[in-house]
Amino acid sequence: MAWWKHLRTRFGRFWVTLPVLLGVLGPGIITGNVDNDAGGITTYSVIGARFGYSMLWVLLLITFTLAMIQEMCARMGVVTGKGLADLIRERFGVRVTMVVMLLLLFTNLTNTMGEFAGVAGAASILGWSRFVVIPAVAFLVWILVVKGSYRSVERVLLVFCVVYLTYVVSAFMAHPHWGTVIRATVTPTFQMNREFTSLFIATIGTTIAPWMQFYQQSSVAEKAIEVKNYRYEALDTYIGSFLTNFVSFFIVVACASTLYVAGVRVDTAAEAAGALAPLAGNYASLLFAAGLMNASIMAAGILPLSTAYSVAEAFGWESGVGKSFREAPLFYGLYTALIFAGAGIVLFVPEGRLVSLMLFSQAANGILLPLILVLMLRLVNDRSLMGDYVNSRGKNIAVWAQAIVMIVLAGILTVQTLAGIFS
Amino acid sequence: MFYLSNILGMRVLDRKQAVVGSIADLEVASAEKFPIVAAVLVRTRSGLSRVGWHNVRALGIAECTLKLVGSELEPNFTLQDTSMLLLNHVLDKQIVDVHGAKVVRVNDIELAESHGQLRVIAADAGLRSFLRRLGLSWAISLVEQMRHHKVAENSIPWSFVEPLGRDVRNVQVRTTWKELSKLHPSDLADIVDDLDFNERDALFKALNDEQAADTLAELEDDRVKVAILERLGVARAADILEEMDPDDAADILQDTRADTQEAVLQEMQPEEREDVRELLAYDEDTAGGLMTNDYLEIRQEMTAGQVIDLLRHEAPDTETIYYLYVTDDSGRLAGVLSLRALIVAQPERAVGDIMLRHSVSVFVDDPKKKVAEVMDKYGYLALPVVNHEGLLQGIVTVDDILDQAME
Repeated sequence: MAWWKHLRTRFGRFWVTLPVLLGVLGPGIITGNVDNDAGGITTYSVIGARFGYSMLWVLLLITFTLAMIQEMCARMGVVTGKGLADLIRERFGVRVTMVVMLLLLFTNLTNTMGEFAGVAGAASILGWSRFVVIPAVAFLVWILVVKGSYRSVERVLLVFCVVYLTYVVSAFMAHPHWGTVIRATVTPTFQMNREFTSLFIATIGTTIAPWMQFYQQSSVAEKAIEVKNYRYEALDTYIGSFLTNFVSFFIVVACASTLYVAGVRVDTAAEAAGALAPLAGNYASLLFAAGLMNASIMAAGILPLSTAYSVAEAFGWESGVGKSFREAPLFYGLYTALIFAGAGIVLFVPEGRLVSLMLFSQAANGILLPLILVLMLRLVNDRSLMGDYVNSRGKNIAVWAQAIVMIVLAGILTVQTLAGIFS
Repeated sequence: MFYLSNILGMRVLDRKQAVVGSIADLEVASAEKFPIVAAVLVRTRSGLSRVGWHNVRALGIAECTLKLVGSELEPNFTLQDTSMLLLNHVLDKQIVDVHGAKVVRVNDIELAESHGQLRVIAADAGLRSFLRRLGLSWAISLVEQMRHHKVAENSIPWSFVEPLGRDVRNVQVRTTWKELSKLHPSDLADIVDDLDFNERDALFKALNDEQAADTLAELEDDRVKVAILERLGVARAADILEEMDPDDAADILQDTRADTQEAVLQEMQPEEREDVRELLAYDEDTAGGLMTNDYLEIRQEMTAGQVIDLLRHEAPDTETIYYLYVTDDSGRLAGVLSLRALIVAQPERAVGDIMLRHSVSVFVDDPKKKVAEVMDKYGYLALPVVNHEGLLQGIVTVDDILDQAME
């Protein structure tokens, strides 16, 4: 019965390592889930409604890209104990840091606005007034971070992650044809029209967002995971990358099997939630809206927090949710300003103006992401920093290849967007 | 005076005034209080070349002239474990400002020439140096003119600087942390908060067990304490915990994983281990979880003189001596003896006669809040903790509930 003995020792080992694993899990899963924010849900709803299942293969492919990029950040966090902004500042100096931080600040502010717009949209489906819900949400996320401890913040976030499963339920309620769904997931198809390409690029841009690299590396560094336990953090990252695309997959399926079939056009996630009601039932619609509300609230807290962390790291300000407002005034000041500016602009600026701001944000994102990828690849391959934990040759080739594809795509998107703005 | 940011990238001319390259970095001898620049690293077309300071004729505002000719410059530089480079290891990195007891990021480095030697004199961390690095010096003067008020330089004299950028994992060149270990544990704890964990590991390796224990006790975040101990390894963790008050040690161990906890306990001296083990049995947020069981046992039949002798021998280690709790033959709490009553009493008087018989106490399972209320109501700095049979189990001091009161 050798196999039985083998199995027993394997499981014996598993029970010993389980507490270690649970202690390490967190940063990757949280980052992955926050990735499905208001902007993400909007993009996935739109591609589902507009192109049915035909873009599902992109989600499958992008899961691997995301996992690879986030894994590098996690590895840098474990080995160096420093955040990405720290490393960029230390390796590339003041000017590069300033450029990266200004772009990050701008894209994260506009993304935060996107989250509050998501809150407003979900509120309208649920029948609540945006003038009550937006200030309430802004205050809620603010108080959680300013008055809470790191542990309470992480705990609340992990609970929030569970709410994402509402999208899976929504998708099943839409009764899709699963055979077709699976075939579309593994069969790449491409349509040569402008709408397809720009949504294709938008999907990549919203899934692999620059704040994620900063956020995950900082939270990994803060956890002080030992190098010998690195593989658990890698696992955490892979689970996070899988989960984010697992959820987005079901969002696309929910919209494709209802809105696409019925030929309904939508431009926002809230519209998608509303349009689901007559097609998949009120519950599906409410679940979709609840998921959007949850995602928006979560990201409305994390994005400003991550930004404040990154900027504080880069410029050497006191920072950390463990500190009081008086100990870290600039950190909390920036965090507060981002939340209330984001909420305020959404409340009081007319929607037409917001759209062009969002477009600018997309262009800034398109410049920032390639820049960060190149800086990251240089950092992760620096032996004096990473020792034996530099990228393997195979990984370097794979990541560079994907980086080049993304740089090209981001370039196209940026040019398109800027041309759109100025024409 | 020079700024490192101005020196880096400066043109390098040889003896014949021909351009041979640019300054890539400065190497300093780090042992000095104000380190001397030992060499200039010149980036030439063929690679990095190390030029000793004795071969530098002049360092000007716009260029650096050597005593060598261009052909003598060879790409000979490889980073030695013993050298410290100002750009590579200090600029843009974090340092500890020992005087201000905080961690800051270096925006620029000030150097000065005296007696033919170039020395590092200060690290700049303020907004002024940051704007200068961005090439926005004009913005500084603009702001100063508008507000009639100088933009902060925040330059830290190098004698107060403890660099962190040099690879702290490298044992050979690890900073001595000599200045740091002189700091008060609560200042050290503030600094530890701002370090990354490689730096924390290095700092705790440099501190002796007692300093490490005091610093650890001062840290606020329990998760940080646990992470530090787990990374130090079982043997060192046990040594440090032995130095701590048992209640603080139990607090930390409470949050470690069961297997680590057991391994560390096994490594500790039997006496300290039993104290900690006893405390681990109580819930963290009760009087039992807060109290220390490291206290002086005073019997009511002892004389005042005997108690004072006992204090002389034992007190350096125990947490508080301002109140002494007196027990009867069976170990029940009988009364409380204040230090004042003890000192003014005749040496031959029995403790039972001079103590206060009705002492206030709390039960081991009383919640934290109750303990705080009792302490506040009676204005005591410490309280005895008894079990339901009235047997004295330990004492809880005001600092154990202070963080509760601050929240």
